[in-house]
Amino acid sequence: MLFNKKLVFIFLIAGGLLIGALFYFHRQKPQEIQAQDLKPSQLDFRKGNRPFEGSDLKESRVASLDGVASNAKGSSGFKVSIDENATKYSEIEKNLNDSEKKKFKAILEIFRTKNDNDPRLDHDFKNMSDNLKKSLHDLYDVLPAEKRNEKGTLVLLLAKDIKSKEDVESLKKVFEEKPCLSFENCDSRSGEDPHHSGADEVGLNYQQMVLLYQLDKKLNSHPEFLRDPDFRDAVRAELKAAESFPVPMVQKKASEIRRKYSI
Amino acid sequence: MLKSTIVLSFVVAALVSTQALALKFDTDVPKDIQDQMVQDLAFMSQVQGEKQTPFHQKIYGSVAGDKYKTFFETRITAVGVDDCGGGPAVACVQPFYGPNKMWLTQNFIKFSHPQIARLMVVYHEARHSEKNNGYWGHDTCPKPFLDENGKDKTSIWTGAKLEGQPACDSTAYGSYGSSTIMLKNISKFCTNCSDKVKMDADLYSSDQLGRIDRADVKKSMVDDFNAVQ
Repeated sequence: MLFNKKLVFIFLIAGGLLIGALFYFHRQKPQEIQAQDLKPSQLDFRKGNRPFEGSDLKESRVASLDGVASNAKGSSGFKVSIDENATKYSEIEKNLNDSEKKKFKAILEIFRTKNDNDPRLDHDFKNMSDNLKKSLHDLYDVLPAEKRNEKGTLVLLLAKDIKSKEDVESLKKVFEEKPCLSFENCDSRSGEDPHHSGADEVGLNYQQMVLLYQLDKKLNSHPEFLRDPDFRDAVRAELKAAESFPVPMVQKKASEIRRKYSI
Repeated sequence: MLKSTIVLSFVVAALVSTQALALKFDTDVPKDIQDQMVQDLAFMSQVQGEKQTPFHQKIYGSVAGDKYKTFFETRITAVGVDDCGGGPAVACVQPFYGPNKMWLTQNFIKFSHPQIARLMVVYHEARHSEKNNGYWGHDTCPKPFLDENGKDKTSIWTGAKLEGQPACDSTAYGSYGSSTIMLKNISKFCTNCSDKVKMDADLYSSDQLGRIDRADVKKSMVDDFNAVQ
């Protein structure tokens, strides 16, 4: 009895010490952050990620919750939520049958949730009917230019389903639109951050890069498509349009594909 | 009595330790930003992969959600909201002032980025929290900083050259390198990612490779990507 009581006592002490130690380390991190809880807007990042020297601390800027948006003039579509074009979507859906409507609604839902890993993207849009393809094209046309990821997703689905020269030709418009100058307003430039400017460049030319990526993938997995002269001509015209798109990254990728397949 | 005491001690210890690792949002972080961050990290935490390259093994371990979760949560413990210097910034950390806190901007949800692009940025920034690695400070891009065609690497719209900017890495293990390696491995080996996620991972990683300013390091990374098929 005495032995058991001793053991219980030891375990209680050990457990208490363990819990106390965990609380100590758990509390320490928040204190460390609070002591130096300056927001980035209160520091001068022009001097790089170095400790700020002297008393030359910038006055704290108001960390506007609108961020860049408050400075963007004439900002267009980037603030538009997916649901604000609901009447346009109803118009597009009118000519779809029930199964096609379900898929159309699925894509809108995926846009709303921003879940790029939704399995329906891989399963629901194979061997699409002409009606469904048209609806995705119409959706592409009504979405604001700033909806880069959404438009790129539509291009992905359509490009994956390319089977004919008509499918190729229908996507040429992607290389004929104006390049997007900034995420908040495609018609005007904004500030740049060299730190992530490469990623921003991909994002601003997302649907163009997606189309080229999928075209390359399609030709790689189905080289027999290029034996059809009409299809080949359509692809050639598409790639020439891409090479004329005024963004070096897009031009370069298009040229690579032309060389790769000797088109 | 003894058994239940031991079990109780372990249960309490486990609960407290998980609390110590959970991400804390400042009260002024808008709910939609919190939800998006949680959703994006939840995606990463369920990634499954069949293989990984040697560099990925060294930095993260296997292509597995629990590895990515641990990587992030052992570096970032709190999230705040700020404009991170303005411009198109999505996220940032302040290595010398609070390396374990990530700051998200409104652009995190307002700008239309693919999910994997947002995750690339937050994992890139998380790498900057490593005090014992000098916060993986960036290399100054060399002068001149040329692409494979011998042309100056410039910003897409302003034409400003990247040379001289603190926007390169001379190691495969820095923020650009490590996020490139993560994305390339997801692109190649993720078994429960959609085609879109894998494509996006490939697109963005290929671009990030361009920030490695040493030819030998870049080659070693390309060799690493090709080492496992």
